Amino acid sequence: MESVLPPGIKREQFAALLADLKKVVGREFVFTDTQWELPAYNDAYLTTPAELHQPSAAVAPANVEELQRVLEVARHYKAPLWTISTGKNFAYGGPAPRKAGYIVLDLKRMNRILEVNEKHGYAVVEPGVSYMDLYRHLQKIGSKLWVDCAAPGWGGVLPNMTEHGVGYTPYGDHVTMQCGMEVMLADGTLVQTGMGALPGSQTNHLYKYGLGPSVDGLFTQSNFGVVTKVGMWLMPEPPGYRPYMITFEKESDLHAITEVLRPLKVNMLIPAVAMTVEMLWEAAVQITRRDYYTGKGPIPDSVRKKMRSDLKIGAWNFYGALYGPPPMMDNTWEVIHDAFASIPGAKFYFDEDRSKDDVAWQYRKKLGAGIPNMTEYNVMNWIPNGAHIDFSPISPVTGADATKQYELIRDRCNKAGFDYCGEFAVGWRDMHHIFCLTFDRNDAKQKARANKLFGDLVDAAAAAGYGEYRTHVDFMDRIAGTYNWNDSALLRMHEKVKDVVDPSGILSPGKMGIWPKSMRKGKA
Amino acid sequence: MSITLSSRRTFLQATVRGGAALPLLTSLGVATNAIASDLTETENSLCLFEADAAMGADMAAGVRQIGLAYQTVTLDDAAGWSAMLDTLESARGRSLAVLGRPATVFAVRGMLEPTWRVVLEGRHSRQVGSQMRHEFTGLDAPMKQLAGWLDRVRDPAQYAVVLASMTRGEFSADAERKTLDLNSHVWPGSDLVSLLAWPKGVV
Repeated sequence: MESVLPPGIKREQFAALLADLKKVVGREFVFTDTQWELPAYNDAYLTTPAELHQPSAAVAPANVEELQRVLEVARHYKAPLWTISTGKNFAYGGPAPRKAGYIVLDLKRMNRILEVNEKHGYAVVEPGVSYMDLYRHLQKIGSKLWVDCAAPGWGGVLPNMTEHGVGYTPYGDHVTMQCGMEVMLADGTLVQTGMGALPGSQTNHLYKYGLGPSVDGLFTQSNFGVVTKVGMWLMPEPPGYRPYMITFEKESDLHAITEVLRPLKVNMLIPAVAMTVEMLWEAAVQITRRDYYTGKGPIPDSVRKKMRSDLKIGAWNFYGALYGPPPMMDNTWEVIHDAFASIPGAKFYFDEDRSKDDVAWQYRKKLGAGIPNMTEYNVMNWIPNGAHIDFSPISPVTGADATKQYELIRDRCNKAGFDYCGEFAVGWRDMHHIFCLTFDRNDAKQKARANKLFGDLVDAAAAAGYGEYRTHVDFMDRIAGTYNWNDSALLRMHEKVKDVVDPSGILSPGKMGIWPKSMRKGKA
Repeated sequence: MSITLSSRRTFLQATVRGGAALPLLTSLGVATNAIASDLTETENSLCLFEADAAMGADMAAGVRQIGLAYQTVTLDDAAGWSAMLDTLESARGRSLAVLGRPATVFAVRGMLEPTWRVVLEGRHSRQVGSQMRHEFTGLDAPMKQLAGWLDRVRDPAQYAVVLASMTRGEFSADAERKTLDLNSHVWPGSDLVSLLAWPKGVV
């Protein structure tokens, strides 16, 4: 791996820049070694050449004071920084920057849990705090608050929220559960949003909006500032928790499942982020593809049937949970059971009905109670050298839309020689459709096919009126380009904001398609 | 017994050549307790292995016999993951061997870098026709040492013990990374990935 320079910076300037950064954070926390250190900031799941995203260096400040001085150095040299926190945003680019030469601003050392408020149910964390960290801390102090975690529990509480991530409990919409934010602007100014702007505020993490425009959202999926602290509401442990699974026999049941689900969800009988999961996802966390099939192309139906039978899963598998006092759970279950029982072949399971060795059930049971784990990572064992990028369009909660999206993706991915492996995460009024495009990262041809398929899916989804909620660094411009109503008025507004809050263009240039003025012509 | 870094390095230089022969003997049941006991206090390297039926108790026993700390790593359990992080945090100069399924080792590696230096990664995959393919990437010295044992180990348990002994190596950080592909007879169980790593500053 050859070293690269930040765009527009000469070698002598870069040496001076690194020397300045070392003065701020210490030699130990400026990473430049291309053999030993910088590979940690690559994305192992790229479908494009790694050189396109190779950082020139990484710098890891320990606190806001050091961060302020790092930004000062970056402004002085006009050096682009790429902000990461825990760096685990795999499938969407991991820690890798948008373009080669950026300096990764690694916030994992800013990992303090600043407050846990048991009475009001929230925690205040810095960017480097993972779900595992927060869970462990809550256990240690004997808290009765739950974490709501992403499926891989090594992800960060703050960065998952800023990337619009979701979890699996009733607090699964992480942006909704965020309250109070501290942000450092590119000029080093530290801003408290909402009620936090009031000195001595008693309600910084209790009321989200403060006075005047609510700006927190401007700092999610954005490059307008560096979020240094957030409050996250945490769910109090309920008096009862009863997770359940419902399996459905036919691929075409997706329509009926979604229609049954919508009123249950809208009326909050299903309070958590519920999951409708296609069978291969459930298979991939516990077996490998070649355990059942060694041929090329999508797995035939006969083999899929055998898998379903062996693993006791359906073509679709619905996961939800009951929360509350037992009588309330009993009543709610009656309604949910009757509704889904209208679908022929539906089978219902509680914990006692599933095997202790059922890997898929066991990890989803934990997620519904906010217990972090990493089990879902086993999906990468599905094929040799497994890697994935996720295509994630939003769908209305209707049978017609779910089926249309499913078929749109399934048909294209089968034609491209890939298996469909996906799930629908059902939120307040929408479904996040996550298609886990799995490929062999050592197979250049397969990577090229995956890249092309992904691009085709973006275009096909946009043509059908579906946009993605999040994406890989390689597709940020392309997807931002689909949000182009009224001559891309939203993107142009984002660019205006960018020019004002970050005139030097140092913060994550190109994040979600937002480029600083100096780089707009040169965007990849 | 307190060991300084320099005395430890001197010790390693003196013992590494002999140390590489220990693990296979151990895994084959040859009594090496006397030799191993000499190493126990001084070496104290770490091994993180994913529990696997194909590895089993033989591996743990073999690894412990040559005086290395052994810990199971799992993706499924928050407490186990946290314990691993604690272990890594407190490693301070100890070397590390990791063996597990690809997803697990990928996740472990994600917690190691950039503060640890992964001197060798091996990808061990079953091939059609009863062969095992071993793809190594890393420094030449440990790669060659390890490759020499591949024909002689029967299964992941024995490989784990050999791998664990490699943490006694003395490697130069300025050496270039190389790749090496080898085949051996097939191992039982699933595809695996292995790592050898040292904390930054030691290599």
